[in-house]
Amino acid sequence: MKRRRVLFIQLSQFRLFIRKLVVAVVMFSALGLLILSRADSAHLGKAEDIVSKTLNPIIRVLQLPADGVYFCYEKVRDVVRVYYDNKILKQRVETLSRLNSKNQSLRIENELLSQMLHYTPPPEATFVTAKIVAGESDVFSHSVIAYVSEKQNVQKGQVVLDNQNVVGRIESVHGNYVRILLVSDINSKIPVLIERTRGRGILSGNNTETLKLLFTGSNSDIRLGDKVVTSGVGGIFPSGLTIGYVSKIYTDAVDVKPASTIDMIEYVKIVSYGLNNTLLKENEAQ
Amino acid sequence: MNDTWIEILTAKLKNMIPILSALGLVLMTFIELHLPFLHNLRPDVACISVYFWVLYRLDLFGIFSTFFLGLVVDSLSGAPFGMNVFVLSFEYVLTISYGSYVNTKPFLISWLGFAAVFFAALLFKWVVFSVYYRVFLSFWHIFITYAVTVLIYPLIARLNMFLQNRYLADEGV
Repeated sequence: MKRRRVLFIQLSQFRLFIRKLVVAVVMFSALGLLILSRADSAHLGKAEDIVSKTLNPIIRVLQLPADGVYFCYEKVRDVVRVYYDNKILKQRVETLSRLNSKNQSLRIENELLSQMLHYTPPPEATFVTAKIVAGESDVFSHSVIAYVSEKQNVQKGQVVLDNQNVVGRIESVHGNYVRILLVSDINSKIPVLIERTRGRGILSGNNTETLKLLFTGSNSDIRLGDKVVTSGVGGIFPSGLTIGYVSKIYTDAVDVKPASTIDMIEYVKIVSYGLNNTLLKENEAQ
Repeated sequence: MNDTWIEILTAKLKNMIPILSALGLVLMTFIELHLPFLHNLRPDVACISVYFWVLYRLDLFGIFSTFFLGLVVDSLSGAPFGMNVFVLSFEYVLTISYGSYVNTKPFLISWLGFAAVFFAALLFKWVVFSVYYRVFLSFWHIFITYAVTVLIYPLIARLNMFLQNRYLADEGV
């Protein structure tokens, strides 16, 4: 009997091989992308910009029904809260009217002293209000996307507040959409100080609802409830903005609870303090 | 050839149902709901979609669809570019390798299969993320993501099954 020689591999085996090769190439491409993104490649930034500009309007449309439901929920909640808030506000008005008269005299005193010292006040902060249109708060990243007008000249590095507390900073601008890196994101590192003791540290996000206060010094006198504010070091955030309050103290770490409820934010203020900061310089250079 | 261009277009669109549904679901998870109890509770619908469609309709949801979906998730989430592509490709390989054990079995078995594949994918993601940032994320939050995603799987699978039976049942596998 004559033996049949096979010169080529079967077509099905060849196809299988090609399929496996394609999968391997895709996985290596993904790994390559990861390594490139670590190197902060400008080309990847452009690609991300294109995808964001394309998909964010779709999310915005999808957001509309959710906004409607939230609007109704908020209205009902507001009605429930009105009575309680009214009581508190009455007390606050009394306190404020007392403080107001005291402030008047202090203001006059301050003006006189400033004139004597030739003190130049810093420029007034300007801000734009933006609506959050998409959010991403999962275990791997904490950022949100807000809608702004292109005319408003929002720039990378600008500070984002909810009403008066810091919630993050502008990470990237994609036309009418800006990505806000929240203070709870693992990439967020903010120079801060404890308002009571003026002890400095770095407030780091860790993708959870609490923030970590690092590099505070072993003998720093930190207590529960201490207010944590920006120190102004680094030139990105101005000093004195509230970020949160000390919520837990361990032997080697301090937990800080953000002053604002980050998940509940609907509108944010993107503030320009006119600071000549490093991030804005980098932005201009790019 | 008797097919009119509308029929051809319809057929093409039908073939895109898996990737379009996956994209739709991913976009929906990015809707901001402003609810405090949803903090870190976002289910990984991209992983669910990849598992489901690769398991049941590999002919319509290949490695390029997985790659594209990963790119979209990366650019929307602000995660390092390539992170989700890498993880979803890994999940794709896992599903192809072990999917044959579950794809003809009852739903409960495929659910358990997803739980196993997603566990491996999430662990892989955690390792890649930790190496990338040189920091370890809390296991508790990873576990919550895992539990929420596994629990929501039947709902997403049901939706995908509806799409499969309604629009793709007559297509060849």
